[in-house]
Amino acid sequence: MRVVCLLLKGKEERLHRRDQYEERLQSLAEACLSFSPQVAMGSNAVFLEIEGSRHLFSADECILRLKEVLQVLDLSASLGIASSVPSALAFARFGKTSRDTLPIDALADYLQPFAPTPFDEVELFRKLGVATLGDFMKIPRRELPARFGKLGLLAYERLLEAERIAWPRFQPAEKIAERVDFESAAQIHTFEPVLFLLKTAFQRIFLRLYAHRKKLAAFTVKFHLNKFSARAERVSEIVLPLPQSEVKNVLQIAAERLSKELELRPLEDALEGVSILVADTAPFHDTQRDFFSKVEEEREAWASLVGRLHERLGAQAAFLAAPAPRLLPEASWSKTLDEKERGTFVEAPLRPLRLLNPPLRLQRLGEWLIAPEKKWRLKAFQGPEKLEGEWWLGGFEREYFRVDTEGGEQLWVFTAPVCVKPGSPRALYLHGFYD
Amino acid sequence: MYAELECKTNFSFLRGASHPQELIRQAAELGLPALALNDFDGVYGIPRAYWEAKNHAPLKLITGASIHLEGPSRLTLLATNRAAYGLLCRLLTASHAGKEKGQALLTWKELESFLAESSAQGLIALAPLEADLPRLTALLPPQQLFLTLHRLLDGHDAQRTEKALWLRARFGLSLVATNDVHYHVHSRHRLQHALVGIRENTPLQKLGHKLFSNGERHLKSPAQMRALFKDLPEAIDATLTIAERCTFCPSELKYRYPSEWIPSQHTAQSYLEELTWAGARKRYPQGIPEKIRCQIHAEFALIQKLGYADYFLTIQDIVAFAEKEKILCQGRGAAANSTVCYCLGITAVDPSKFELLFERFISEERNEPPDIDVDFEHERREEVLKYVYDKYGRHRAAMVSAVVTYQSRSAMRELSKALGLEVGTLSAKKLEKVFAEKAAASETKNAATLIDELSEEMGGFPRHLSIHSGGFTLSADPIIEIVPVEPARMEGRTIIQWDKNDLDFLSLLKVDLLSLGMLSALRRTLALTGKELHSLHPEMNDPATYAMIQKADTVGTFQIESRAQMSMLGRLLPENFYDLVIEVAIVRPGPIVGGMVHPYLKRRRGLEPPESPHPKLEAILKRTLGVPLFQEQVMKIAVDLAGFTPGEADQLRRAIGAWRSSGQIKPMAERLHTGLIAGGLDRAYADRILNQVAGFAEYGFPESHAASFAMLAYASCYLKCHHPAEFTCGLLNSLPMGFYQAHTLLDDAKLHGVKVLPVDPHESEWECTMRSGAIRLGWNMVKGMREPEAQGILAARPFTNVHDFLRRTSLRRDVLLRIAMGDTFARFGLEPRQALWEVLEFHRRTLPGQADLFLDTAYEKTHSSQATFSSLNDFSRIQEQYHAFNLSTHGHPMMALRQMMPLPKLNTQTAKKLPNGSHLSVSGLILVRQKPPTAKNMTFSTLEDEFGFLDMAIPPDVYERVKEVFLNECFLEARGKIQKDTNSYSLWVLDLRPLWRSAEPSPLRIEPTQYFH
Repeated sequence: MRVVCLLLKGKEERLHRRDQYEERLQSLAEACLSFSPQVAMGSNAVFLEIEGSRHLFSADECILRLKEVLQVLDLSASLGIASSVPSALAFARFGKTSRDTLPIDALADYLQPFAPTPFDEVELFRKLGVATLGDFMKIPRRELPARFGKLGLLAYERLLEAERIAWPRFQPAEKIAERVDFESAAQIHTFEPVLFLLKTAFQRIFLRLYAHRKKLAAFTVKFHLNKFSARAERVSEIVLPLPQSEVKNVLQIAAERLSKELELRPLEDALEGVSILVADTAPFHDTQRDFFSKVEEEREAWASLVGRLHERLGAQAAFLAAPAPRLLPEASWSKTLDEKERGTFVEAPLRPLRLLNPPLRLQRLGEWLIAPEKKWRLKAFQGPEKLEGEWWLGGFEREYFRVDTEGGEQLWVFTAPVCVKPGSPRALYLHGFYD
Repeated sequence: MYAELECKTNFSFLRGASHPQELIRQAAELGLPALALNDFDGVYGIPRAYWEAKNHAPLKLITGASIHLEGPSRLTLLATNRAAYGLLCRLLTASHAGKEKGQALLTWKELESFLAESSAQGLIALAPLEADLPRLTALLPPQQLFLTLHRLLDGHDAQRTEKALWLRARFGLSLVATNDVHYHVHSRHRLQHALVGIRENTPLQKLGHKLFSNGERHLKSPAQMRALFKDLPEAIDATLTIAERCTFCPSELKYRYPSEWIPSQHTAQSYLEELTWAGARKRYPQGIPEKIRCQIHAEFALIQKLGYADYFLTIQDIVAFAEKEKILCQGRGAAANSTVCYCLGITAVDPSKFELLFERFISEERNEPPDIDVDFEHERREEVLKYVYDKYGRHRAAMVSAVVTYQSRSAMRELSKALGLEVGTLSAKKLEKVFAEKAAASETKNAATLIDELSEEMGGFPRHLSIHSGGFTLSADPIIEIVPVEPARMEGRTIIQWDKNDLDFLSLLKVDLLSLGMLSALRRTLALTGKELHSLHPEMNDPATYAMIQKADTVGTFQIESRAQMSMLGRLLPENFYDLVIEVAIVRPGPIVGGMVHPYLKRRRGLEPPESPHPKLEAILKRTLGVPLFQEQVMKIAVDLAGFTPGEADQLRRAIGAWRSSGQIKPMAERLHTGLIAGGLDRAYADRILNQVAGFAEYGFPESHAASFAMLAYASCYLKCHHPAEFTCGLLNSLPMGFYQAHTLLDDAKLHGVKVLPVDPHESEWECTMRSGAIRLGWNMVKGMREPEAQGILAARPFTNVHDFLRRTSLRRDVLLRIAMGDTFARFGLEPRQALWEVLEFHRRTLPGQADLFLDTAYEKTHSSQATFSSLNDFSRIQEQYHAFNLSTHGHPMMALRQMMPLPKLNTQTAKKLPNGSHLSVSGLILVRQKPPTAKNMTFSTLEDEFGFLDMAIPPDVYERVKEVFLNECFLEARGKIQKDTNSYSLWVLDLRPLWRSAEPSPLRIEPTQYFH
């Protein structure tokens, strides 16, 4: 057996996110499959058995090629070659080439090479003056289990390579991608034909997603252009406002986005086909849908509608409103596209459905409230409701009244100081209408 | 008119935003006839409000509390008379009993049983609209139950009114108007918002409607309230009716000391006199001097006049118990001014010898209860507390609380969080340094200014109650009828809801039963030497002891063992007891900040004449060579030169004590300054006095207190000088205490020729013991060892070999591993590593539930091991002993290091022999790291080697360069120049380098005993 260990180090510390780190490790392991079918992944190392590939390339050539792989993947790693997995790992970790000179800390690598965890007893060996694995091997074998149990013995056996280690085979993670092609490349003048391709691709995608109990959250659409084209493909990335489990909903959103895109920037050449790559998913908990409840479907359809309106009208025109933790009435809600951001329900006094932005300055003349182009005759009012706070943002202070007009309208008006100076005169504003 | 009946102070923690005093002052200003304070689950703010209300007659203070009842709502209860107040206290006590802090809750069943008592007729309940009225109306008649209605202009007023009117009709109750007051003035609503942010641990920006939507919950004038309730005048009138019915005043809390144990033929006064004279005869065996007799008579007269005889007797009883149980104790503080206390054995200082003033202790003018603090051995104080509880019962004895308040730094940190600044895990101190930067990065407008303004308002706000270090209050009547009692965080402890000063406001008496580690060490040392404390050289003038003190050879002694004290000893060169009193008092922020230290030293050395800048100061400052060092002197100067009355001077003393937590000191300090200049002092001297006052706020000693401590300092020095082995043994057995760790105490003892024997399976007891003049380390020195385990060893010995030891004792694995490597099994002929090998086998074979085909579960060693291990070198041997015992009997680590690596030839002692200003290098172990705020950014440290200590002073520029090494390494080589001042030596550091220069960290880490302050 001849094992190569690639132990990631150095600049990989820049990869703060664990998932990012694991992704890189996966890529390395996947690349290693081209050298040997026997590849395993440790917590920060990749192992490959190269004995069986000796007729394809020498160990030196293998190392040379692995270095190229690391370079292409922009990774740096220590490399160890040995006749067993633990020795290869320990050599890579401690930069040694002889077992006996390895420090006693390497025992942990021998016990669990694929997921090394600190071996507490190492400290005891150190106290005993056992500094290297060579010193360790000098301890009479039969005295080890009486002090360190089966782990002591296991370590000894593994150092002698008398104990075989099960090799966890690496399998690359599955990517969900589907491609659908025209029979022959076609010039695209309308979006209709693309929609057919997309529909087929999404149907396949969702079949696979259902199997994984996943919903679609984000995806990439690739337009594959005529192979003689100067540009081989066009890519669009789409993040859904709410994860979807229905083809029709996703198709609507994708159609909104892509048709607009293609309208603005037509494809450079004839289209050969379309592929969709799933970029992100969300768990789909219900294994079976509830026949009698349409809640989830309605929510998805609602989110799809918002997503489409958002795509068509723009972010400022179509959105969801969520309560915001502010006392100032016009700031007490915010725009969102994420239905999950529902905010917190607040037991505030009755508020009007329509607000004027900005509030309209009013004049009061006797029983009349007068705006530049309209006037209301005051019939009755309730209040005041005094709102005051947000001093950390500069502060505000208003006294609100609900005013019933003779015309049957109900207005929401407030008085506020015209400027921040204490004792400054107050002005009257119309802020909204009750419906 | 209108009386406000619902008002929360800042003792409704993180809810109310005004001090009780502020609310009282504002209520008086608005012309309210009465104000009821009803904090959540307590009457915490009542004493302070009462004290303030005394100045604002005819404003009536109504006492109440808002209790948390089962269910969603609270219930406000007001006490109309003394009996109802007692019931309220009991009810609050019950609501806290057995609950987590801040989780007080009263069940309906409990409420029902309390309201069934006759005194419940004196309670008035104010129920919110959400209350469970069907249940409440079943418990309380309509004349005792009112429905509260607020007009808060928050948009819900109409809805509330509608509901209130319906409930009134439905249950036949009267409505009462209240404004649910949370702060005294409108502008305080900002702070109230911020408090909510702190309470919810959420930035204000995210709180939204959790905040009150306006600032209307402030005290309003009768006219404002009448205008708000013009449609319901009867609700306003009801406030006055209720206020009239509330006649209870906190001044009714008359205090009676428990006195049933006073012999029947005696009054408290006569019994006190009898005990005092008996004590005086013991104190003055040659006959009581006339001067003393007169002083005692004078004190008796004042004690009788003020009715404090019971109090003295109570303390005497506790002290007598301690004496009977051979628990060392000694009174400290102002009580040392009293000859009666001295005769009763409460204090150890004879006031006549130090010209101490009884008036400093009790003064008719001040009319406040005396304050006696007594220290007990720290390990045995529990016995004293138990005695107090047993004698008086838990219903009559309780510990006072300490109200922990927000200081400017802590307020700033909490407010920064509330205003959304990125504080993270920064401590308040660290935040202060980066505050400007953080505030500038904040999205909040003018964050720095806002936080500054709010933290000023919030300074002194109560944060939580904690256990006072030893304050007890005792009463003849059940204490829970005087003040509610609630559980403290410490298991089994209960505290009253008032702190020490609050008791003073109500003229309630308290006693401080404190603990002091040195008393434990002294008791042990005295037991080993067979001596009595009072017989230790009674004149306190032993030349050998003072010679030792002058050499600053005071490691392990009381009060004068710190680096700063030792440095001062070498310059001050104490020759007599009063010098020790000064030594104890001078190394304090008061004299240091006041710039009094150097003038005193100069005068002492005759380099400057001991002149006073004013003739009136001569008498005051004569004994301190014209330099004010003690609190009493500053007070006396205030009276004699600045025109303060003695009462005002005492207020100044109190204000100094509360400097950082209240704003009272500012006007008083200004008055003192002006008064001193008007009294004839020059401005520079007045400035120094004022600086010293500021320093006393940080920490300063009164003379009587310094004298009490100096007695213990002398006793510890005497014992160290004449019985170094026994003294060290006593200290080791009393750890943790003092400044130094066991290894330093032991190395110091070795330098004094004391022989130290290691822990031995056959010889060691639980504690360290004396064996033929040598210290035999006890099992208590072993890290992680518990006394029952050690007792098991004592019971099982002798042992035939290590296997026998392992088989017949039951030590934990970690302890066994430590003692094996700590060379404890040398007695059985085993090297540490071989011993460890045996322990490992023993442990594996005796693991429960381990059935191994190849191992016998019964541990019977039948063959010896074939494994061989190299011997430990000297350094490793010392290192392993440190791991096991935090000390080494094998030697100082520096001794071993000298064999391992080339080190500077000079050591901490030879360095001291070089001429002043010589450049040198010396290596050692860092013992102390200090950066006192009073030292102008200088850093101090102490280097220790096998020959002794050397102080180091690191100037700021060098510190910046070497701080990585200084803070992270424990073995250092220091380069610098030696500085000498009489017997004081220090190294002015120019560079520091680690001894361990490899990339690997040092294998032995010994943490310093003092860190930065």
